[in-house]
Amino acid sequence: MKNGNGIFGSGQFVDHLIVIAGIMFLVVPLWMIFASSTHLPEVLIRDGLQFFPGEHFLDTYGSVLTERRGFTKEVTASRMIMNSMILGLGFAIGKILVSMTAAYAIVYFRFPLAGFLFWVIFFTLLLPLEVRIIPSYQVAAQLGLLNTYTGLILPLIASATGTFFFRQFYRSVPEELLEAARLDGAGPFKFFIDILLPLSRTMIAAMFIFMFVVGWNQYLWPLLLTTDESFTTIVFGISSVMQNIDESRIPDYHRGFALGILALIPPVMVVVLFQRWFIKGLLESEK
Amino acid sequence: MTSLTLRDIEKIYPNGTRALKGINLDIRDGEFMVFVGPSGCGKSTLLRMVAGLETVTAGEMLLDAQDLTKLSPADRDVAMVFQNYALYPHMNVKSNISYALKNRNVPRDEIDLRVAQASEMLNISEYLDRKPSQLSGGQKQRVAMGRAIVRKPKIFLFDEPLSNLDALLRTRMRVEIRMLQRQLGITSIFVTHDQIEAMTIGDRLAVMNNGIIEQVGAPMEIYSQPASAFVASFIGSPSINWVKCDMLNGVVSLFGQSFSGFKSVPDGPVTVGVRPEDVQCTKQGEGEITVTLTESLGAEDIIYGTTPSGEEIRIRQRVIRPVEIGTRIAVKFAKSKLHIFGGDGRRVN
Amino acid sequence: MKRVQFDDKWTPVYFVLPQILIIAVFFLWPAFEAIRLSFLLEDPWGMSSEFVWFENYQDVFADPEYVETIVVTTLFSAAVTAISLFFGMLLAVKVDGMLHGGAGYKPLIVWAYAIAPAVGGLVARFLFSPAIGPFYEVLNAIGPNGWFEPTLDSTDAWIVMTFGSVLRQISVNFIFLLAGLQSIPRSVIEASKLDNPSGLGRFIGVTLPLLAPTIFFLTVINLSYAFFETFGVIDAVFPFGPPSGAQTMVYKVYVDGFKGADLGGSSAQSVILMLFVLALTVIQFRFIEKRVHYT
Repeated sequence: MKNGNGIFGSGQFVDHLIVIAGIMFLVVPLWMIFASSTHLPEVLIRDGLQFFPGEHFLDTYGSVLTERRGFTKEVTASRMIMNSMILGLGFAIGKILVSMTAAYAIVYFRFPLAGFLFWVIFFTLLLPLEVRIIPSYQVAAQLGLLNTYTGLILPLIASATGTFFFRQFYRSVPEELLEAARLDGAGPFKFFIDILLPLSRTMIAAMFIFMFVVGWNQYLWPLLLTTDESFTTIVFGISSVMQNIDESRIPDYHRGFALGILALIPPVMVVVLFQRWFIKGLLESEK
Repeated sequence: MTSLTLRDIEKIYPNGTRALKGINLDIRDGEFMVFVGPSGCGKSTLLRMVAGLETVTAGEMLLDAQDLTKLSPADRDVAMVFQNYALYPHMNVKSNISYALKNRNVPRDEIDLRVAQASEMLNISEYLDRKPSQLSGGQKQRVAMGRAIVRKPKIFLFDEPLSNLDALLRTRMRVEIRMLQRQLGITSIFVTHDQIEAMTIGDRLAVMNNGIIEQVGAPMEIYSQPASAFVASFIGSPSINWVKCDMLNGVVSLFGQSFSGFKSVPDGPVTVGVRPEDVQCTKQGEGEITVTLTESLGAEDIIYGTTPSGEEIRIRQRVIRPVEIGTRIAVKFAKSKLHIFGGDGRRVN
Repeated sequence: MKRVQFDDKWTPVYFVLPQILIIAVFFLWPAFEAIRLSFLLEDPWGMSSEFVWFENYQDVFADPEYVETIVVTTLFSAAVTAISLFFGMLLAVKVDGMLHGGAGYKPLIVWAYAIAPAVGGLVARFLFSPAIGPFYEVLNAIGPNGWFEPTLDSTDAWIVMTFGSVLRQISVNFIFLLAGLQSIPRSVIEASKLDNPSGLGRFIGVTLPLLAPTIFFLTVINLSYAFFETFGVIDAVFPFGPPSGAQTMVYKVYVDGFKGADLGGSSAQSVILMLFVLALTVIQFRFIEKRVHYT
């Protein structure tokens, strides 16, 4: 294709340098956190954040995963990871199911409320969760959903991004497929299951990957919703550990860092392993 | 015995556009009827109304005296072959063909039997395991037909199925479709904008324009006795020559010839149509038409010339002697080959 | 709309019901509650409430801290947007210009999307930490002694939080910009090479205008992110609260409502934020509408 484009410096070599520098900018800070997590806090206090890994990888991570810490000393990192997993998967699956069906109704049916409902759903794009966070908490409390997985997942699904994603896709499906299917005797359910669903496979995968990462990385909502520590997600759990850090005499930096790395690795793996689908999900859902 | 009757069919879209008006047609059992006309004439709309994919605004549609409009598309016992094949991309050929039967709870062995028969007939038995994306255009079209055949419907509908194929394939498939239909004897409606296709494939043609049927008849009937100027222009290639003349006392004159015997035609301006193959070149060297272009088709020549008043005349003749550009030639017609149309475009002779 | 649709009356209702129910309960209800509460003054124990019209709004705007919060949030968002867009663009342009589209580099940049804001905040906090952070040392070494003190000085705090916010966004911008660059037809690039030998000239004259819709779109995305999703960054960098002058509007909503139990004030702030998002979305759609005609 092209051989360097002469912008911000010319020549292929410079281009590579720039890109590598950019990558370093992203990678090095996290690498240092990781490396530091494998040292004992005394080393860190004495010499600052470390660049080279230490020897305590196994014991630090092992203890973080199995020992109970946090405010009430009830929760292990493993538990938090599990919670995050449930949140991520539950959110992704829930969002896909709910938006697929809603999009189907809007695109493929002629019913009087269709236009109105479309705008209602569209309206939800306008207000991210953070803007209505306190009342959402109150609603959840009134419904008895505090400290439940349902309460963690459901309110996050109340936005239109998934529905628009599938609506866009359904509109691109050739008209004739539906016509042929109707002539072949397929009603709405059959058409959805026999034809539309299989055609949507890639879209579903893309959305699933993308939404999993979004769900996993949620912070503010889990913060409000889970007062019971055994429900904390690992991304949020970092902060409860961090709060403890300043209270001890020798701060447990290494454990805090280990938690951070543990919170980071699953979504990173998902994004990298399923890069193509993830990017597709990202690009398509933000349109 | 399947006959389809369309009476006073009208179609008006919600936004007010009128797509079809006053459609009256009787399609006979086992007939291969072709709806032909330019884009936007309403032929596809009419077809889709028979299928149930479009609603009927007014009029009656009876299949064997049963009111079709009350039935959903799936219940009409009508099968359709689409222009873009409309094969289910995620299913293999066998599943595509048998989908309709599965939905009707046809027993498994019956399905297998019908699929085997249809694929034999269409030469697609080897492809049963393939997915549509692995097939060529012609193969896909055959699978689409197989899907229609296995249903043993009362009517076959074809919506411009050959438009996406290359020219060679198109002529071959035309023949195959025709032979297949004869073999199965199923009443069929075929929509196309290609008048050559229509002429060669149909038992009868319904020539449509702007939402109405201009003429219904066998191909040769339509060709030799076009009922309107539109039909005369639309059917026939190269298209018919038009000359504007005046009718006086039943006599009309053009290019130095006079034709009488049209007493029943009122006096006034008329348009006379003569097909290119009915134009005889007489002398070269003198005459009213100046040759502007000749096309050599091998067996025939098409000669294009202009009249002094600037109208174009097309002549089709067997290759006798080459004609040079710029030559002046005279032309002659036979009275029986004249198609005379009045001011309203309808035939008067 | 599709040319052919199903006519069933009830089936679509079943299909769309889950989405609508969830939206009604978890979106409409809280949204209305926020609006309703913004007009009320509750006593600290939630026992009684008094309808006070726009008093909460007046109080909120009269509070210098709130006005300051608006200003700093805007500046912060602008900074995050500008930095992430710039670096995202730089990387996208360079990677796009490489053979095979720099395929090997792509995962190395894309992965950063997975950095949760809270994790980004964690990283930033300790890179700049007085106790163990290398950046802290370096910054204080190159400037007047002790100038950099993020726990005390709000500007320094913003620097840390910007760093923590930007890591992930560079990746987002990169992905979109790269996609945008790769969707420019080859023929256009080649024609421009014939017209203009200067790489920079071509970039400014041809590439940038073609990318304009994407850039505009990303600006909105980045601003939204900085406004709304950076709560995790702030909370991770300052678990006990940032120094004064270093709060975003969302953080203030949380602090006032949840910790301070000032539901009225917090709700008023929420409503103000809602109006802001509304304005942003309207602008975005206006522009996207234009873009549709343009392409």
